[in-house]
Amino acid sequence: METNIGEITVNGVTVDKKKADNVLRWLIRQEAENVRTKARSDVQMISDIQKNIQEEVERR
Amino acid sequence: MMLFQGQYWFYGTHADKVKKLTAEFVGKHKLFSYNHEVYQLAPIVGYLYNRKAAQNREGGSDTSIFPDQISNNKDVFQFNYQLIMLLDVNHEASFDARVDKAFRFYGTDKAAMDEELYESYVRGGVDVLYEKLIEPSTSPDDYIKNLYEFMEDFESRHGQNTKEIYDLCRIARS
Amino acid sequence: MLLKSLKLKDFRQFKGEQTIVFSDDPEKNVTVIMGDNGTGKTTLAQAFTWCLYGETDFDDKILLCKATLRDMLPGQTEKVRAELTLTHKGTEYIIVSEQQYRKTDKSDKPVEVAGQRGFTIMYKQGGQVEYVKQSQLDGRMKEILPFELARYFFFDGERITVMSKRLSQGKGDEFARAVRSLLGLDAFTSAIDHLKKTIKDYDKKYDARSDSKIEDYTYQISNFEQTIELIEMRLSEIADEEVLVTERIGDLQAAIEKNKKSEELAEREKKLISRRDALIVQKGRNITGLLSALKRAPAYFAKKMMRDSLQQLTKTGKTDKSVPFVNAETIKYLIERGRCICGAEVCTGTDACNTLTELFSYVPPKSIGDSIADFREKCKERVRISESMFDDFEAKYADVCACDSEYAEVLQDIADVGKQLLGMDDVGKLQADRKRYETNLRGLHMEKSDCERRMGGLETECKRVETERDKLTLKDDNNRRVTIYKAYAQYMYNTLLEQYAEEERKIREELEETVNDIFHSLFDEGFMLELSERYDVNVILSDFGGSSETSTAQNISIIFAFIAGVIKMARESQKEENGLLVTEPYPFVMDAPLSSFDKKRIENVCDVLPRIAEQVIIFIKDTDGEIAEEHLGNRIGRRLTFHAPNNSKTETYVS
Repeated sequence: METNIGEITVNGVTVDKKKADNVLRWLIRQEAENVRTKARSDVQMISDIQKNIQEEVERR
Repeated sequence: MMLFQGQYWFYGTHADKVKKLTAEFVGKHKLFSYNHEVYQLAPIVGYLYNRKAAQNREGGSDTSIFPDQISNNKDVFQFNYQLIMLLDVNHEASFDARVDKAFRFYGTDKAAMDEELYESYVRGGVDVLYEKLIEPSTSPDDYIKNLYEFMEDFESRHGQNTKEIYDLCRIARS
Repeated sequence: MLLKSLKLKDFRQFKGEQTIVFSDDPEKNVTVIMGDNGTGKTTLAQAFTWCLYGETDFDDKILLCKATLRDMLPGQTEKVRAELTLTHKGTEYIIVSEQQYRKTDKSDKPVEVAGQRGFTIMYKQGGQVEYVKQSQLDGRMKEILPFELARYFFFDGERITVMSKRLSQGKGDEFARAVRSLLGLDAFTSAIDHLKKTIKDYDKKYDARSDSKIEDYTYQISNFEQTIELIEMRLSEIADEEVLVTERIGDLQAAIEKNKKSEELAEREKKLISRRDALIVQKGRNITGLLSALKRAPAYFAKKMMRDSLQQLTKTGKTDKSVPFVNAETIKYLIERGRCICGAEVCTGTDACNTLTELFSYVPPKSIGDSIADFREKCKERVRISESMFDDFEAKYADVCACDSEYAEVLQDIADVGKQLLGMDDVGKLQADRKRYETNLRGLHMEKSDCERRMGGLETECKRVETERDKLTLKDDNNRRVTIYKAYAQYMYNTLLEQYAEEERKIREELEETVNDIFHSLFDEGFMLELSERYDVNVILSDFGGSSETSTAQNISIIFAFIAGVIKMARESQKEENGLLVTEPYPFVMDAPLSSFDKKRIENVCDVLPRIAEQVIIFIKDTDGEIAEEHLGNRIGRRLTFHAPNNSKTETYVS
């Protein structure tokens, strides 16, 4: 449910939609490339995702 | 010897044959259930087929009719004896003598030869019954077939008018 | 992907080194390979899959050309080689598979495999030939052409029967998998998968020290998730089992129908046996009756004798001359008294006395008159007993005979029925089996419901616990952060899932439409295909339709239209390079399907195919050659022939 424009509540936490979409876009690009190159393993991908989320959430 | 008193014995080959005549041939069926049934029929058959036989002690087996069964059926045995005495002309030519044998001398000392005659017919009859009913039968169905043919043969020869006998009885009364 | 050439060395019938070059002209994009059965058309199709994946369907896994083997000495080795040159996403690849064989001196196993299959992928980059790293080989092949897809692009006509069967069951889950990867949804599914794992991983990052309650919750949640996973697995198993059991029930039902007659026969057999047994009992009874009649035999046999003796007795007048109740005592008394009963005087010497004295002979105990009278009574009695004896006896015997003849008939009937039944399956058993399976199926349904219910309950519980944990974690700073990140990941996951489902739905619907279009351009009868969410194929007859189509031809048409549809969509989506879905076109390698189609079909097929696939390589029989020429003529870029010298089964040459 949206409380402000661009804000969504998930599991009792407020999520900035724009930021989330940024990460999502990055993720899909990454995955598409990975399908081809198989450069990053599962474990590495999870780690990358978490790093990206943290970075995106912390920045302004 | 007093006929039809006490235990009666079959000996030798005749005992054998009597045993076979009273054996189960299929299921629980027997041609003759008891030895005394054989003893009722054998003398008649022996006389009609004109067969006598001497006693033998061959083989080792004997078989008997118990005293109570003898006394229960004594009237039939006696009747058969009387019939034979009355009719056997080879044994006694004179009718009057035959009548005496049948009615007067039965059971007395004078009857020794008669009883011997009767017994030899019994044994002869056993032989005939065995030859006709047991010997040629191999399968259960055979027994029934041979029995029927034996009966049918007799019927065609001597199919009796029962009425005649009744008439004869009536006449005698008058 | 465009196929350029295939070079084979001693691969099955292809003795020595033989090269097949394919047409890559964009206009004349059809390559026709002609050859009769046995010359190696199927082999060639298999050569592709062996080269790329090391897989074949042959029963005999020894690939070495038998003709070559013949010429080898024991101990000698030879290599089987397949080299496929193709272009993919602008890069030229050379893919090589090699397998070494050694000839032995054993008669039962003349040749043995020597070593593993050697697999190499080379590519041209900047004028140089580069090798794909060993560790990346699988991945690269997956990218060029995934194995699951290969089976659809190397269309083995002889496997039509198998695929047909899957279709007749309405099953298209293989298609589902293939479609998803072909249409480039891999990135999506991969992202969704990773996000799910990420979320799970966050749970591990919760600092349990800050609150043991959180740890407790985390532990509970983990358990819930494990159990849920197990249940999901079981549900999947159940689904598979259901399919098998349903199929089996169907088979049994068909068999039961076929053998319905045997049920009737079995009934009849039962009745006959019952009658037979009754007859046996009846015969026993008849015999008993017969033998009981026999009890009267002595009387019966004596009838003649009785008649004769009675006659004689009557003739000679030996009849009753006795006087009732008068015995010897009476007469003695009368004689001694000297006076008779009537009053007459009885003196010795008088007539009266003589008459009386004579009477002694006739009165008991001396007389036999009574005895004779008794005898006559006995005769009467015996005759009465035996009166009906023979008639009874004869009647009972007739019964026995009738019984016997009916018995013989019944036995014969039983034998006949038995013989007939021998050739049939026991319907009783089939029905028992079917019942078992139906019970089994019900059990599976129940288990499924139960699992779903349990799962629902667990999920609710799990969510509740998660909510509780989230409340707690927000209070702690580190945990708070983790919760936030997790929420982002969750949002991303939900969004993708929705979007993915949406994309897949769009693509599936588009595929259904495309397939129907192609289907109708190929076969103008009244069919329509329906593609369910699970990619189950349902064929609907439209109103103006119904045809004498056999199900085999129908299924082939469906398979065909489907693959053609997939290829077409794949080619069209290449234009959307910036789209999230990235894919590329493929060739169509087809193994002799023409013989399965009628003339009209072939026309349609030949017309539509080249327009759909970028490259068409088609194997046909010699006899179909003219047809192919007639309909494909102007699109044929290359013609090749397989011939086996002297109808050899071991050697084929390409020209």
